[in-house]
Amino acid sequence: MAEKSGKKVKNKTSFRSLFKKSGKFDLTFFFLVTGLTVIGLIMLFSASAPYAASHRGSSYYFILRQLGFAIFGFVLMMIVSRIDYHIWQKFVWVIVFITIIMLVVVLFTKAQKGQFHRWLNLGFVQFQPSEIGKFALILLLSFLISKNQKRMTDIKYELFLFTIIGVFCGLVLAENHLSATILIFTIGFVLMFVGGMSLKLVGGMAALGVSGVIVAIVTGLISYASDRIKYWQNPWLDTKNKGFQTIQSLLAIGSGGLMGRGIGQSNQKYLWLPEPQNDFIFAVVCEELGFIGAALIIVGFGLLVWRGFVIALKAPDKFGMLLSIGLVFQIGLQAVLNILVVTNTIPNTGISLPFFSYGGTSLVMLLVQMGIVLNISRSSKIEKV
Amino acid sequence: MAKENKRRIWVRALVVLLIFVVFGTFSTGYGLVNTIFVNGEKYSKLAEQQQLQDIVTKAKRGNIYDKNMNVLATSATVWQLFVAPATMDDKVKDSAAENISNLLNQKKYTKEKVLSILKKSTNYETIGQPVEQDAATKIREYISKEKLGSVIGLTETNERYYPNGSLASTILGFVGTDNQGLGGVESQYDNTLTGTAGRVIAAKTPAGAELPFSYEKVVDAKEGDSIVLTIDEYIQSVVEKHLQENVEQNNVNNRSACIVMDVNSGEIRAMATKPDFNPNEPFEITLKSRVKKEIKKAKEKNGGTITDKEKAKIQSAAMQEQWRNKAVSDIYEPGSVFKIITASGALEEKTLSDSDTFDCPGYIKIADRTYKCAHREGHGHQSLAQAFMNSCNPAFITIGQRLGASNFMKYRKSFGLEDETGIDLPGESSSSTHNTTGLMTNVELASESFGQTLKITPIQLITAISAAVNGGYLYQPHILKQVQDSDGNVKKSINSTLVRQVISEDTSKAICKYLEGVVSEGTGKNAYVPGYRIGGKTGTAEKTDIGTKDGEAKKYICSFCGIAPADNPQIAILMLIDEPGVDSPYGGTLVAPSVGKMFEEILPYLGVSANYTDSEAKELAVSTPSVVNKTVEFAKKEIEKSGLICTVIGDGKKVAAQSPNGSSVIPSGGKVVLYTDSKAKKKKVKVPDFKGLTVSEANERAVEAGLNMYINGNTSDSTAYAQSVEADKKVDAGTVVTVSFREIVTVE
Repeated sequence: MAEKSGKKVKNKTSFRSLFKKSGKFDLTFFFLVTGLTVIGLIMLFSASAPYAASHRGSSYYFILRQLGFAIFGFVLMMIVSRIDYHIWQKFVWVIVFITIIMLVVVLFTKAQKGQFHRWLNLGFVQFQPSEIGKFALILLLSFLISKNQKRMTDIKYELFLFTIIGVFCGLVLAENHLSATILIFTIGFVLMFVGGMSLKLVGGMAALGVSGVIVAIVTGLISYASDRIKYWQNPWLDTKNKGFQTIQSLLAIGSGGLMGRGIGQSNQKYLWLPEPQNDFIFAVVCEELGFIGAALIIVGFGLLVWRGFVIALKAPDKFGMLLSIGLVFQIGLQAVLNILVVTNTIPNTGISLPFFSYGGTSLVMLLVQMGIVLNISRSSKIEKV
Repeated sequence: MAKENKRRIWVRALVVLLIFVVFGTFSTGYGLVNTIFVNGEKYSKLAEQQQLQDIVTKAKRGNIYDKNMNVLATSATVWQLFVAPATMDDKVKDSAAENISNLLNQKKYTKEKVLSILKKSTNYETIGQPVEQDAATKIREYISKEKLGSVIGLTETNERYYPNGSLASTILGFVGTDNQGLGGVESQYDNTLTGTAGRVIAAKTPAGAELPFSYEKVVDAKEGDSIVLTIDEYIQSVVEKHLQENVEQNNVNNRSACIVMDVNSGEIRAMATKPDFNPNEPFEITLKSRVKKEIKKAKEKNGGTITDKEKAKIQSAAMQEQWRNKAVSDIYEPGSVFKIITASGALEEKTLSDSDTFDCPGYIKIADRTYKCAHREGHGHQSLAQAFMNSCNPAFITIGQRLGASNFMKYRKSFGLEDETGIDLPGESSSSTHNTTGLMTNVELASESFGQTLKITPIQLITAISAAVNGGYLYQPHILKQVQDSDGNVKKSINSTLVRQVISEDTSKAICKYLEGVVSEGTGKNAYVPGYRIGGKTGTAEKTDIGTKDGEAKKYICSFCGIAPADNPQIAILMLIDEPGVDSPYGGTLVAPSVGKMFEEILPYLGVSANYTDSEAKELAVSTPSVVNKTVEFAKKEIEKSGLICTVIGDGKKVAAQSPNGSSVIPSGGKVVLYTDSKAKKKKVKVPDFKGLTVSEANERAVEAGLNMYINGNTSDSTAYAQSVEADKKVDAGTVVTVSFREIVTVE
């Protein structure tokens, strides 16, 4: 199968052939993506309006920008869904190279957003290189594993792949971006696992990952994290500052109850919950839509992951399969971690909610990646709705 | 791809999916359930607490009116400053503290004090005492100028205001800092007056940012009901004027009290205790000299020093004292006034009749005790009417003995002297009498017959006497007439409660006749008002329960109870002065004149017309005509037409000035001095000392000096005891000097 698809790539090199229809894409996945994007935009508008009015002078500040990016991203998604996903194999090294450069450069930029070097400003666009890092790693691992399937049982090759994951993790960790590090590591781990990594290494890698985090926290390597753990365990220790955001999030979720206050009716978004358009947008979702609305959105993410896996398992080749799994798993895991943060189930790590949180480049990236999955679905042997 | 390989990938992918779904579902489910269902209630309450501010708005307290709807107590709108320190920008706090302190202009609220409040981390703090309209406007201007509307505000509140100052203070009571009634009707009808507080629940944002919507739930405060009292502001002011004057003249040590009652309904028309207090400033001590004296005494005891605690204790006791309504809360020995009760019972039981006579040798022996008559030489043979006029103790002891202990006690009970009257005022005292269960001994009976050794409240006594003179009907005394809602609609009217008929109308009529005799011919002469039929009874009780050291003067309570008109009583006045600090402390001398003055001002006001005898008509005062700018000839005619004498000073043809001025009241036959040259030096004369002179002597002295004398009080067998312009003062000739006369009554 791998050889077959390899031929295919060689055959379709002309620009025009890129857009040649190779089959219908998966409508279920398309509607799930579209649905989450639309709900995400509605909730962003609701959550951000008071903050926008107060801090930006217009209630529409965030939603207009996000809407613009969403439309742009949606168009890109439709285009990418028509580009044979194998094209990405050609650019994989370029993308990885550029990503690594950006991940290094960002460490030397002037710190923004507090003490963290996470954002790269190219003048016309501002983004977190770690976001691209995730995509680059998924692409790279999918490419390498599918290409060198036979070497996957070779411990040396496995360690080589592991080293690549380590490089990415290390660079992101250097940004003091623990959540992204964990995310990248987990995605890498999952791709290697599905890709055929020997079970011996599974245990070893898992152990290393977990112990790495523990050592980092215990030794104070990630000093800010230990503080976060303190206020995670008891945010009421500092209701005014360090525990403030967590407490306000809990108050929002708690006051939503089963049915919620109704869309647009959140009280906590009125400057109680800091930056309600960012990482803590789900708290406003819970306050307005209640447990039922929140659960439905979680189910939506679950369905997206499930459909992504279905597409993956029916994919024509291993590259498409791993790519699809990596991309949807990334979204699913990020959503779960975000919800665990807003409910204070895990420490506050600064992780956004896909499709919901404000961030133009992030949303465009997300939709482009969904376009890739849609393209894979075109050649998947699944029953299209 | 090998089939085996593909299968392995399938399995591994499914494992990942399964683990993710299970982990994702359970972890997020745990997080949501824990936050929404386990702790949700707590969180939503906390959220509500921070999102909403709940401000209580005080209800306007109802007014208190007298029976003619004159305002005795009202509530003025004032504004309370509040701040939200937690959301106030730290940078502006310093200047805000200074500005707020200046705007409030209240001694206690210095810049430092205000700053300490602004530095708190709370969301609601009040600063200072409430301010009035002008200050509130200035504060509002400041708030809008500095754009501090989200952190500083004013809430409307109410402050109690008593427009007449101390008038009726012991009836009204006062209110505390939260407008709660303390003392008097403010306390008695606190629930009625208070109303229901309202609330304003408003949405709030942490940084004080504007909300795009305004959430505000207002539960309006419900204004309290107003109460209308049976009190008559005019009568009350007359009573207080004369009571105060009496306290000052007689150097009364232990406060004085007076009650005016409508005898036919039990309604209180006036009730006062002096010295009292100003309910606008209830904590200001009015018994200053007493406090000074007691502090001095305590200092002497402790070797020249006094602790703050002791001092505060003395001051607190003085405040309690000045708030106390002596007319209701204190019991006293009524003395001879009580003889009305003894006689009423005896007449009703027919153990006494109008034709009975009494012989008084100056004393009477009952069992082993000898009771002396106030008139040591004895009154000799006297009729019942004379016994009343003389207030003869042996006669009334005899009347009591004839009535018998059992009957005496029956009337003591049915006149309501054993039970509280149930008047609607707080702090009514219970009386203290000889045993109410068994039978009194004859000695006990003898003492109580003339009002000694039993102690009752003034309100009990005036209630009983009202029954004795109104045809025998005992009414429950009361002070509330109506309850009105804030729009003036009557919600409740209080009718008089007839408790029982105690004596027959005939007996009552007889009592009135005897009481009139006391004032027209007896010990109560000083209460006489020309043209009116006044009845009354004097009382002078030795304070038997206070042991006096050798050489120390005995202490007395002097009292007088008057009724008018005696042929058809409408009002009763009971006045008592506790421990007068003058010689000859007799009710007839010290108290009756004051009650007479009260009647003189109250009866015409009540529409009771005067009928003068010829001799009274002669003494009637006339109003001087105004003749300035008239010709001397015309002026002379006018003045003589009014029954006055005219003296002209100067040679001019026109009157430039006159003394006394037009519309002055002087006795008929008085002198008017006319000046024809306004530049001419007015004739100055020296005011003579009238004290101790009889009416005719005083009049002579006044004419000699070129003054007009206005006679006040009882004039037969009387001597002057007070004058409106002090002796030796130089005044214009013709000036009216009011001289008060009274008869010295040394017999009880």
